[in-house]
Amino acid sequence: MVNDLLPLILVLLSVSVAVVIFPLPEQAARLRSTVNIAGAVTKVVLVMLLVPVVVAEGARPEFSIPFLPTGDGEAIPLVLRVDPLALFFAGLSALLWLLTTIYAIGYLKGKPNRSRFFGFFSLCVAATVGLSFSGNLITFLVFYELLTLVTYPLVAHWGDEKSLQAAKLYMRYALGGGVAVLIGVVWLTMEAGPVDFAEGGAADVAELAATSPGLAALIFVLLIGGLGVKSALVPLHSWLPAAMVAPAPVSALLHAVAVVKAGVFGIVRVVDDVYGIEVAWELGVLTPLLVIASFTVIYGSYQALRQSEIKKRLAFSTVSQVSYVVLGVTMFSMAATAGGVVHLVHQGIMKITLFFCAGLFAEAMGAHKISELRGAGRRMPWTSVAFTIGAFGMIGLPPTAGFISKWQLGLGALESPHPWVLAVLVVSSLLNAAYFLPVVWLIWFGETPDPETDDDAAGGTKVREPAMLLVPAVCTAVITVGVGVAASLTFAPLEIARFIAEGVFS
Amino acid sequence: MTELVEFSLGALVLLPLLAAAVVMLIGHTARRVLGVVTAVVTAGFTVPVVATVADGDAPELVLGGFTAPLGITLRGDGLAAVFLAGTALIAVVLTVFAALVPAATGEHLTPSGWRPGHPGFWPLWLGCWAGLNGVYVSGDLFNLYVGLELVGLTAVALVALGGRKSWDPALRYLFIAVLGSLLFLTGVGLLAAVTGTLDIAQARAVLEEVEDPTAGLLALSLMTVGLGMKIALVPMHRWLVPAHSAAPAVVSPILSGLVIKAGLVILLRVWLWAVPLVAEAIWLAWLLGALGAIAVLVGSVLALRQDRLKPLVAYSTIAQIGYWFLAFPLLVTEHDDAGAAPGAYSAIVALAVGHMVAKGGLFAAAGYLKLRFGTDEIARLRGAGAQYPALILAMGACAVGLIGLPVSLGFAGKWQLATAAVGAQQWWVVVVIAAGTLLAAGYLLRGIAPLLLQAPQESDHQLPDTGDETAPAAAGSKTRAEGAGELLILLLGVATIGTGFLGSWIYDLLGVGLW
Repeated sequence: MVNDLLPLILVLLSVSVAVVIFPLPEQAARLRSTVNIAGAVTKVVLVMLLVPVVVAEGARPEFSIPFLPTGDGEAIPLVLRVDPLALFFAGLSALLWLLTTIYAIGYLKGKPNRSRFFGFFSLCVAATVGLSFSGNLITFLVFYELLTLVTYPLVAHWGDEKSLQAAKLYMRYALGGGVAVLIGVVWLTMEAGPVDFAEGGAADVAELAATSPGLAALIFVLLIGGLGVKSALVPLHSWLPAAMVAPAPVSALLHAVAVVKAGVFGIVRVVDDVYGIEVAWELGVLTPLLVIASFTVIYGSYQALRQSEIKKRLAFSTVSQVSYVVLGVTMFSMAATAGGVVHLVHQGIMKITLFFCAGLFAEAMGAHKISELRGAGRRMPWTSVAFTIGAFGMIGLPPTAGFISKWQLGLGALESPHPWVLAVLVVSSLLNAAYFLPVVWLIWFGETPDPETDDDAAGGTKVREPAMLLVPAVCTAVITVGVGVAASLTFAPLEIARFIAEGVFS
Repeated sequence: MTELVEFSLGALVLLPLLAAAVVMLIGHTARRVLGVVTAVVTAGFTVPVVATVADGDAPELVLGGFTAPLGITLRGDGLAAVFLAGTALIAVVLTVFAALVPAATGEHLTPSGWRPGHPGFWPLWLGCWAGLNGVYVSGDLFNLYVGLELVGLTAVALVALGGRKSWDPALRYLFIAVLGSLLFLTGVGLLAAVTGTLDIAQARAVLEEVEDPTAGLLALSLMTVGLGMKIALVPMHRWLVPAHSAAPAVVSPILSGLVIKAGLVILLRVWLWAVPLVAEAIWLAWLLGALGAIAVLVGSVLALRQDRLKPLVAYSTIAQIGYWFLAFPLLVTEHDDAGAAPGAYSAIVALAVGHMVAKGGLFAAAGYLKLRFGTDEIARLRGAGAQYPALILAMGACAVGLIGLPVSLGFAGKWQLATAAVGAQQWWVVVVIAAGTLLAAGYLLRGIAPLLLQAPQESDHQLPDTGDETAPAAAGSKTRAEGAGELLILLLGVATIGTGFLGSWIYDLLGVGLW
């Protein structure tokens, strides 16, 4: 019984953290940080408590209230339900929220509007957790739109023209996508009734696909088109690089935990739990999506190669990396689905490491361009180690998490009807190497600028790496290696992803 | 219990009316106190009525023991309950706000010049509220007219409280209000002549017997046009923007949030209760639908082009009004088919009540900013957010409701409208909703986002040049009462989100006492 309330409590926990933080005066930094971290730690603990219950015992804690009326008198409920996939995503966001909170407290020290920032920051996590626990399409839509709203003030946080422009662009894209999803959901609800997420797909939708496949495919396109905006599928990706003006913790959140992830998570839900992979395959909608995802993977990498700013390069790298997840779920093989789902977590951990480090480089050394990272290895050794691990992970070198993802995806490609995807993976990995290895080279082996000819450069002197910023970065770097090494343990991401994939194909 | 409920039905109308009379006799500070007390007690009377309706009963009060057609009947059905509850919420918040921030009630002329605050606000506003409640619970057409007239005339006077600049718009509003009422009254007279009764239920019963629908249709058209004027449906909307933007800070939300809803409630009463729907009325419904679509699009585009906050919000009202009419064709087709629980009707009510809360909050915030900064030019309000974070948060939350994002009644309403449209295969409605939603996001973002900007270095917002040391200063001199006023506006913002969970409850409520 208590378990049934847990999903609600988890959502409300972050909301109440926000409610407490908003009215706090700017100076109350200690109190604010305490509330923030206490909330984040509680969340991680609660999610941990759910893992054995849901994965081992097979329970599905569920909370629902009536929300929207329908013609036949039965209201469509808001449903929060914990299934393995939900837990997987919630676990990721809970853990990374904790680390990002610590990072953000350090990063924003002494800067204005912190109460506002952390308030919306908490709401953002509340929306993400709600999104992950959503038990039907309506609930998902509600939290999906909420997420758009509460990230807007975060992107616009600095309050200058540039931030506002980026935030506006983000809002346009996200709301446009949101409307597409809304129309898709309305239409599907009218044709097939309110759609509950179910392992293997909803029965009503399967029926609709059997009777009028054209309509089902059209609705699929609407839903995926809308979700594709947040997941930055080319050509709907331009908002993401622009949104890089936001503070570093926000970028970390946007790229690794919340927004982009919400998009792909939605795609996974629609393919696996609304239509069901078999139905989607028979409709013939998976292959076009696979092609788009493949193109996004390559195009994102190519664009990343062309950027000279660190954060821009990372942004395009996200465009590319997130589409691996889409790649995985559309290949129509169990191993590939597991690979896609596990990449949901792996990409988050690796990308957040990179963003933490980029923020550190910018804060401590004032480095925004890649060329400014020359010799950073000697000046900021810990940060550089973490960055290197993240970069290796992105390329997919063993024993990092990225290797596990790519290996699993490669296996999946071979047993899927689309072995050519393996080539996409190889080309993309080469491109990843092409844009990350030079950076790593520059960091460790680049000549330090000569202090005598260049007044600005501090030379090879060591720079202090702020602990509040460094610790989260090192943590995620360690986890990146950890989940790679321990991939076959029980409750390791890969094992849970396999478990989920089995459910999808059962 | 029944007696309490019946008493409450009467008190909802008579108490504010009585207070309006008493308040004229007492001093300025006492007016504020009595106003707040009346508001709280009136809102208290709403509770038993709504609770009874939620239990599935529709209470009635027969005044003086004379039954219709001779006497007057007050009815509390689902429609009445929903609007009573919404109005009570907004009215209490705005009344307390007006008491805390007297400058928001307009300005009055003294021998030494214009002074902030207008004591005339109190009797007018309480009278207006009595009229609104009267409209909601009236069981006969003539009382609907009386309530409408009371609301209209007090609203015109309320606009005129805004000082010299507001007199022209108020006069324009007066012409429209009177003309609209006259058309409505003509329609009522026609119905009374045909049916021999003013009671809504009896009139309908007689009309259903009448073979020739012409008289009913003519009355329906007359009343619809008259009410369309009062609600400001495009193309009869021109009066609304100047009146609503020139009105004092606390009056604009009353006008936009509440007053135009009186017209809507009467329109629903006429279309769904008084006149039985006949096939010949379909063209009128389609016309309303088309005008609604135009209103949504034109209103939004015009809102996008405003440089000042209050006109922007006023044009947004024009657009939102459009959604209610957009649902009319669906209302008729649905009713024709089965007479089953109509999503379109529920959609109109959800949208209207959602608009009530959200627009009330947004207009109050905009008016308050104008009061503080002496201007509502968006360019000059840059960076206002830093000083008024609660206000900006409130505006954001209200914007959620107006755009129709979840969680809000705006979303619930658009959802029901969209599902009804898909069910009736009227795809154009869905297209209009989608376009309206995106446009709304556009103009609201345009209005609110600059407030989030960092304030320009040199302080270029000016104080209102009244030469008065009690005049509101731009920053730093916020009184405690004004701080509380901001929190009240935030309360409306929170209510915009909170009421979003009530969509299905409202739907059930509306089923009580359906035609």
